Amino acid sequence: MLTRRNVLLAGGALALAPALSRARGLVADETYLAVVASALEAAKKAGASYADLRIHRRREESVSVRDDHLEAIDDAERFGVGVRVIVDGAWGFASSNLVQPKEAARLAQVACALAKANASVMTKRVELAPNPAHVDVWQTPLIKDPFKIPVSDKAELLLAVAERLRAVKGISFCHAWVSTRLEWKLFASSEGALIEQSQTRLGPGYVATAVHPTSGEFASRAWDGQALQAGWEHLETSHFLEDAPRVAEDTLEKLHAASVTPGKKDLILDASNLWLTVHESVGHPTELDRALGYEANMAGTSFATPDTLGTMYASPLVTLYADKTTPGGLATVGYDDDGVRTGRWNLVERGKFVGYQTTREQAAWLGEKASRGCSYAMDHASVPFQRMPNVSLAPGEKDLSTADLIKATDDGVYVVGTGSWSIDHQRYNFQFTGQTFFEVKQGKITRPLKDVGYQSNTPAFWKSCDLLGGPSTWRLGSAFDDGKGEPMQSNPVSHGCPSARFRGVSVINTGAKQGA
Amino acid sequence: MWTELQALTLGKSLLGLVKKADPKAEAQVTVWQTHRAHTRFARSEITTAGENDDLSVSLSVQRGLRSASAQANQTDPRALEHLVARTLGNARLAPELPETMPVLGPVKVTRNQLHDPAMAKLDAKARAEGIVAALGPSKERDLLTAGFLEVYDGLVARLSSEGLSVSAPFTDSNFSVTARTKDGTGSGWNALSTRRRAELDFEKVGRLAAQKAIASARPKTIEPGRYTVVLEPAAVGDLFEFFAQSLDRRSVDEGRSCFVGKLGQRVINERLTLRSNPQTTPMLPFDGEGLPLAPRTWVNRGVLESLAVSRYWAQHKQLAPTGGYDGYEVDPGDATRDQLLQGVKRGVLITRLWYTNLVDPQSLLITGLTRDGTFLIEDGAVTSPVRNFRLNQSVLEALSKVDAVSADRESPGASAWKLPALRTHEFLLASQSDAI
Repeated sequence: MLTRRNVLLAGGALALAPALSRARGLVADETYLAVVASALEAAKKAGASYADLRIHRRREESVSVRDDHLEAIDDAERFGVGVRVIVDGAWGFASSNLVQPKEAARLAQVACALAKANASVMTKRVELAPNPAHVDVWQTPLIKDPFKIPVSDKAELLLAVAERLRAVKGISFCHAWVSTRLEWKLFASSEGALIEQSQTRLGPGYVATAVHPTSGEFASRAWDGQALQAGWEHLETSHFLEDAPRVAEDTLEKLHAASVTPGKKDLILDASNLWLTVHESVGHPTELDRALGYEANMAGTSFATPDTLGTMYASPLVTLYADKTTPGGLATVGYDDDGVRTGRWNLVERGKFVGYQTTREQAAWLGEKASRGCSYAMDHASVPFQRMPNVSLAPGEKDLSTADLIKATDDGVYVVGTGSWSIDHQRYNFQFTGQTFFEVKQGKITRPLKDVGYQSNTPAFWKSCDLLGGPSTWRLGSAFDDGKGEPMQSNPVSHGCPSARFRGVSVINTGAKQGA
Repeated sequence: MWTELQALTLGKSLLGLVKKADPKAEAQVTVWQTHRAHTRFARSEITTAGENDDLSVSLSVQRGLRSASAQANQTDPRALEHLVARTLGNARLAPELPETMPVLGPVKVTRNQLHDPAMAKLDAKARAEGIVAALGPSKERDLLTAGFLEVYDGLVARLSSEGLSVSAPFTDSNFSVTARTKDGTGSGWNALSTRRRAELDFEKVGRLAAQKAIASARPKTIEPGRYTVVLEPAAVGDLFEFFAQSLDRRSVDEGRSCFVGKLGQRVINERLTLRSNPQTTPMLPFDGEGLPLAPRTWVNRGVLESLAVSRYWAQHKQLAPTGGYDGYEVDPGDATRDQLLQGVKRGVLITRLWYTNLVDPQSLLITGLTRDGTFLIEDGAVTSPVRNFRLNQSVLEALSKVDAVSADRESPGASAWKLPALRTHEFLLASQSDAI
């Protein structure tokens, strides 16, 4: 019987075996059990008050085509173990690509030595919020394992997409790709947690480019589909191939579209655009480490400091929630890298700022009793820290369509897809572009536009939201590689959004005239 | 740490496995072996520290026009056999790739000195002591600090079935400090990247960050618009990063580059020369394929002189391949930092840019924000801190309007970049940012 303390106290592979048999479907590889026991035992001997380790495998297979031919096939795999300890109230971490009991013990000793060196110059001690020692298994629900689809089939599909793009006269270049990622990890802690998880993510995409034959201007248009945590069936149901002619036509339309006249306008943002704005203006500002200054050196801080909890972040129409259980979300998982069971909670409720993303270390900083389960490390060699869960905008209560939003707008721009993005280091001032843009006059789309960017300030922008699309417009958008931290770590994350309207937003012209 | 010989031996054994499995296949192997140590601090305390030992083995195989590549970090015999099997398996399944080039054979590389034993010996205790020294100036001024130190000790080896065999050991480090006033109105930053321990001056980085934090406190608001700006080296680095990424011959030939029709023409101000030279900028002397990197001038006194040419594009267009560079230096000018300010009636001193992103590749228009110390220049001197701005600015226009270049250069972001400070005009600070 596994208890919170006997992994550390008893050590040894045999002590862990009953726990494994209790968890449904866990891979009972005795090598790994010996690695776990060896690390935890060595950590205890070296003075750790807490220790955990992750045996972590990452695999990424990518296939890409350029114009009418294959570009590359690559298959990268990383495997290793990372050991994290607390000694004298300070963290220490060490990792290696050798997943062996002796090496794991060495890592525990190195991590403890690092922690001791740091503890000697620290005044504040790390304290972890209580957490049940879970023993469990979790995996991405999927039908077809994408790693079992031969690379030749993937290349064939991409070449078919490229052919459809190039079949439209005027398309000069195209690029198409599909990336398949696996993250498998075994987490164990000195408190008795033992969790095996496997996540499979699929990232397809393509972009067409048209060069104007006389002016030399060029325009590109990317497919609006998204990466998901899913099997190959995602590609079979996402209109990946079928959308290609439309994307090609859009590219040509964009090349010849009218350049936007800058000014304050109403924006109707399609879910395919708004997800990235949610990511930057809500996802990042509500990271507690950032709000308290722990990311000040690189990613920055946040305007959403704890003293602003309870104030209005957005219009009362707006509810934004964090959810590590969203089906298909890239950040969806059973347990975080602190071993905390994941869930859903509100960050902004009917416009009011009500919550943060936290880890076990951070919960006490807010006076909360439990972690929200947002700890993540991208691989065995990375230190777990607070990373963004899926953060989504709840749809409106009435099931308005995007067409309904357009119909209700007198002077606006409808923006589809994501383009360039940028936001300041406290998450106030942002600027986004998109893939395609349409002028809206008196409730109708009148013509396509180009060179559109929108610039705003986060609280002002969210307070200007006055119409939300309904559940039928809600869909996930995804960032496959969201960066944060030093050393920089990549976190896959998704954001669900309906279409939404924002009043009086500054629209700029991003063309050669450099819209001010 | 491994020796170069160990890495080359591993590479040879992998090539041997490929030959055994498929005598007709050509193959290339890259071995990276690194020890990486880091210490992170925030709110004036060390928060995390870690050490990582890792190995990466990359294998590319090709059978005629069919090819595939794979990477792994396990080196036991079973793992290496698996790596060979899955790479060859994918290559056999792959459609033909007409851009496939034969793997490189023997090349002659001029070695450079990228490894400093003293840097390799910077242990946890020395790192913690360095950080304590860096935090001293902020402690004296009651500032909050955050920052990061990362130290590398590693080596890379590239080999091929056709006789390529090159390798290089290296060390590297990045150290940065952000200091913020406790009232939240001031923020300063400084950073240094170097391969040599003797150049890693912890206290100086910390002191400069603290000075900027104090100087930037309680900024005043000035209106957005076009300004004469003095850009410190960190901000100059952002501009040249976008510039260097655009130096691609194929994109130019395909008509989708800001440099279409510009080779041999003046593209930026004559005061600016951009070059790469592994003997003076501390970069690997060979590229990702193993091709030796010769000294190269990209822009000579404002004139676009070279574009990067891949091996495939070189063959396709009957050009010489250049190799791929990741180190650049902008030639120094003759101005002191004070002289950059002199003559500016009303302008802005920008010390650092943040979240720069490409908006329009045709004009090389970027957006981004100022950060961690932005100051008003009046009548040739800094007079007060100002609030931050969003910029929307063509890199080419900004670099064309440069009229002064500093004599001193820094490496704030990467050790293989050397950058001066610059003065330029009509720089578009498009809107205000409330961020501090």
